[in-house]
Amino acid sequence: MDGVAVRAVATKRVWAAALSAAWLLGLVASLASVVRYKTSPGAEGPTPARWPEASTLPHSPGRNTLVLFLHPECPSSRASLAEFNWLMNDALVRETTDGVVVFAELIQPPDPHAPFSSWARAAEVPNTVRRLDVDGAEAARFGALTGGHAALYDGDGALRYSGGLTNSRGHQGDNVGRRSVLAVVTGSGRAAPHRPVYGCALHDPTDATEEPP
Amino acid sequence: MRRDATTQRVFDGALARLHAQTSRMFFWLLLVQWLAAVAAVLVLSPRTWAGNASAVHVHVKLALVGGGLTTLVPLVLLRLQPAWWLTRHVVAVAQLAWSGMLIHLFGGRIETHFHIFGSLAFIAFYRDWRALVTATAVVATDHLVRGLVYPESVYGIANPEWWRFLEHAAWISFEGVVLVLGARYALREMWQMADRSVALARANEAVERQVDERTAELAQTAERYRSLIENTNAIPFEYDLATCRMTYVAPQGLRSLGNDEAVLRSTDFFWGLVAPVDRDRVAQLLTRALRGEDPPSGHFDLRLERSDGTTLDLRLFLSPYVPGQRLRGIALDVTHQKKLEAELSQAQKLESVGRLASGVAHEINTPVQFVSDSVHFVQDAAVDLFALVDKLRAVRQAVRDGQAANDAVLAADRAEEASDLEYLRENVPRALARSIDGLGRVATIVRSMKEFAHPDSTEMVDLDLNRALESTLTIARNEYKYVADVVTDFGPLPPLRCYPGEINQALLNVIVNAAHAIADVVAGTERRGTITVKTRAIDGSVEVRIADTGTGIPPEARGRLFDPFFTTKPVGRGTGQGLPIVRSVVVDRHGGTVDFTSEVGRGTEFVLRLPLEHAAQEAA
Repeated sequence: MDGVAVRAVATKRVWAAALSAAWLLGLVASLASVVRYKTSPGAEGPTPARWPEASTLPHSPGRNTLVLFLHPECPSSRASLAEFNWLMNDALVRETTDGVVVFAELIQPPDPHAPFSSWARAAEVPNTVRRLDVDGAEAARFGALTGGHAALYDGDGALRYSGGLTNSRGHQGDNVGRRSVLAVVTGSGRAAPHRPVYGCALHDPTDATEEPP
Repeated sequence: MRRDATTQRVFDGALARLHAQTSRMFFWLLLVQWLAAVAAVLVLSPRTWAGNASAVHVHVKLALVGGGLTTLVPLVLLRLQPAWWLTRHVVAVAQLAWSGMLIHLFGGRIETHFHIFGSLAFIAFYRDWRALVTATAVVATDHLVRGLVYPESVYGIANPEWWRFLEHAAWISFEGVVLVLGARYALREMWQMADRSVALARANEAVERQVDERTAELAQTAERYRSLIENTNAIPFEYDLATCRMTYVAPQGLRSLGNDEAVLRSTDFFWGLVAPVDRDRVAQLLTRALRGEDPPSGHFDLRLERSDGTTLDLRLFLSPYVPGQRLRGIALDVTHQKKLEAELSQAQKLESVGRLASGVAHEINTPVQFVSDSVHFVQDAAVDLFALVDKLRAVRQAVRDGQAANDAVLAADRAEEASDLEYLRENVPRALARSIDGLGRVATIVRSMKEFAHPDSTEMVDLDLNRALESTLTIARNEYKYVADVVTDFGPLPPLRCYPGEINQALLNVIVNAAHAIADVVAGTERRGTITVKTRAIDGSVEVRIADTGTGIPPEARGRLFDPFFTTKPVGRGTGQGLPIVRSVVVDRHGGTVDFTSEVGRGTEFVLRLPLEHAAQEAA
């Protein structure tokens, strides 16, 4: 190989090395943007400290009621519903707590037979009822603006926990919110009264905080 | 261990091929992972929602843009620089980034960590410990950073123990160490293979060099052989019996025949040249070869006729039969030799005639002598008889004239008395008979001489062998008549197809030898020997036995009996050509055999067998 060819190869490799370095930075930036997106919480309204009288949702006196608001189409709803299901499958929780999953009403109702349908999955959760939130009235009563918002009221109607059941957007697995609900119900362990909510905006499409780009 | 540049080059080549091969594998792996990720997000989270409004989910954008960024850069490098060290590191980073994303997407499920182990194993295919270190560093960094910032995305739980990172790093390091050791072991094997392949290449080089040398030597030998073969009078040839074509004739052969190679392969190249007189013999030869029989031992003579009318005598020495229906051998141009042989044969014949001339002259002289005496006697008798006739005519005239005839009668009586008429009446017919007999004997001798000395025929003709023997005995009579008696025992023989002049010559040579052998024994004595000549027809052959009661052949001379110019006779009596000619005529020219039995002091018997096969073929 003559000198010109050697220099050409060397130049090409310098460019390739520079490109690789830039690529590495881009890779880190992409991962960072994912983390940022996943850990950005949704909006919340004030959750009433007492069970709203005007609510039409079932609440049995003497029993805890865990209400979960979901957007029926949002992919993050699957993670929140999965955590809700995990809690409701706990024997102690099921013994003392009733579940209510409230789906936001959409103009175009989702296909209940579609794969991964949250509406269909919610029907399989023990000790739980499904409700369609017409015009978002219940969400407004409970101050729920983002899908995945859960509120736990005890048998006296007092709010014991408000917030998400996942630690980030669409992320299943052990998290503080789930543990807090469990701690409240079982009376053991540390319980945080509030955690951020991760999910899709339930009603207001113009809210910029719902879905960052 | 220090290795030479060749081994290094072979090793580097093998390693580069390995890297390129592994790179091709990673090309497809990364591509499939990316496409799978895009497909997964399109199925699981295609859109994000805010009430009734929806938009493309950020996951989709991330899969396309982030996944594309993660994948395309290594793909380009894998395609353009598959064996470059940086490519391996970029691939290591990209592959482990995919592991990180997978773990993250599955919420840190511990099972998804197996993707890391699989990815490291794939990277180990490069057998580059540095790439493994990079991959391990990416995993460790990802676990460390995300463990601090977003622990549930990597460990599946929100508040892992502080040492969880170390635990994961330890497992990854464990695998990394195993893989590095494996890579080192594999590299050592590659070095060994390079050593072996260089040793093999060198051995091959040496063998090829030897082959080249041998090939050159072989070419030289072939050239020497070709030069030797094509510049001698020997003409190698090969004839294909199946197609009746000459497949090879050495160039000097073509020159001798006046043909070029273009006509060599024509079917009538050979047959068109064979002289008609030899075609039967050649056909027999080829038939034998077609049957897979070995050709006749010794040589095979044949005559070819060129297109210009001249002839070419060839002597073929044929190789033993070779499979594949090929007839091979060497031909010698013996035209000149044949001419010399013919001249020699004629000279020997003339020498025989010359040598026999005095004996023959004597044989002729005896009858001529007594014919002459008888004619003279008849002449004298005629004079006396005519005188008597005159006297008798005078008596008749006197009686016719009426004269006294007493005187005339007395004169006639005296003339009759003088002529001894009774004697003449008895002896004149005898004299005439002797003359006729003598003239007959002369005629026989002359005819025998004529038959014997007749120029050789170029074609075989039918011969009465018994008569030929009689003629030969006649002209040789003077050789044996003083020392031996001849006893003949001729059996009935069919006509023998042969060259008569040559056969006569052979028989004469044997008879003269017999006479000489007897003469050596009986010289100075009153004794006489015996020459016995027998003929018989036996098993398709004619057998001639000529036995003498001569000296016998000394054992030391028997082996050289047929050698040219070998003789035991004194100078002037033998030339050493007699028996070689007998053998040549009987064996070579007629396909027969010559045998002899001899006992010193008792005599010798020669047995000549001549096949009747020619005659049989003619009859057929």
